[in-house]
Amino acid sequence: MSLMAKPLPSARPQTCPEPSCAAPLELPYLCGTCGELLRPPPGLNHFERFGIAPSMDLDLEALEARYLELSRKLHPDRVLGKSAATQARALALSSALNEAYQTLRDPRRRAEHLLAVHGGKSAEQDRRAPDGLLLEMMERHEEVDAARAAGDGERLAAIEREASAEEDAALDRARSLFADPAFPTPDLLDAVRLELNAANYWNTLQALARGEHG
Amino acid sequence: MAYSDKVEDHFHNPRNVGSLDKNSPDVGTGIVGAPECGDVMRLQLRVRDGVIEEAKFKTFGCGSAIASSSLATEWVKGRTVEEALEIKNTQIVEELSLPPVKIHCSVLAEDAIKAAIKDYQRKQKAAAPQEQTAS
Repeated sequence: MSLMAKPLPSARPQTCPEPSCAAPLELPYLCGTCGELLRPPPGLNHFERFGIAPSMDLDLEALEARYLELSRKLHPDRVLGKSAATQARALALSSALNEAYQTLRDPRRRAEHLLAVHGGKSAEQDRRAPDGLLLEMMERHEEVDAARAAGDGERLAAIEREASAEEDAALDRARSLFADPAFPTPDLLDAVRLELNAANYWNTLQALARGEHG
Repeated sequence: MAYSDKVEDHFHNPRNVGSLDKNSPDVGTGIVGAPECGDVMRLQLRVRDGVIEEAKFKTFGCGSAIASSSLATEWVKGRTVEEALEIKNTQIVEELSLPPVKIHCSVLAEDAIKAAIKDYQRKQKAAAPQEQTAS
């Protein structure tokens, strides 16, 4: 079957609905030509919000530049004289863009979102942990408590570094699973879930070692 | 987030914090975690003649997780193993007035009770192999 013959999805407008503009749309919620703000299609994911393909490997500098550019275009101050509905839309789009950026720039949250985009289970739906990890977590948390009680800042910093390395390792394994040519099979989705659950535990341990959790 | 008075009470005065000898044949240990928030919980029971006579917990997590496990240790004490298995997380939610975002904390406590009992039962089975091979 020719890809050319495949009709484009009709749910999303392909051109700016503003009659005087009608330029092709790069993003489904913003006309890059006239700046018109459009109602975003429901269920737009964070990658689509930036107009990029879902992937673990993002150019973070390019993402930031795009974020700043879009933030300016969506800024509520730009539509101060416009209707209340337009102002509300600018606010909602800005807020959604912020959430998308905060999610995509953080590797753990990006992986979590990428898994959800592919229909993988959430942590609530699949609560498994790798063998032995929960026991290790209890021990590491007790270590943090003991180090804090002893006022041992060096030990706390060391635990935080170790936990950060463990989180990175789990995310690297998730990255390899995402890159598997067979992805997304149910087995691979579940394997990613398990790695992200591990990453979450190590992430919480770091927060605790920094004195943030609780 | 504002905690209910009962959560505050259990959080500031947790009951039964500590540990039991995990190698003892009459002690069951359950370690469970909530991967969505990274909380971990250990709950231990000492069983004599089918009745839970002692329960200890250690929870690393939010106030609701600590309160849920503290309450769970209070509730299991004096119950038979079978009765303890009937404790539902919804009862913990109700008792502590947990908001929807904290329901997983109560699930954790229920899972911890079940895991501890499972561990105890596994030990009992392992300690009495002659009963299984006798017939």
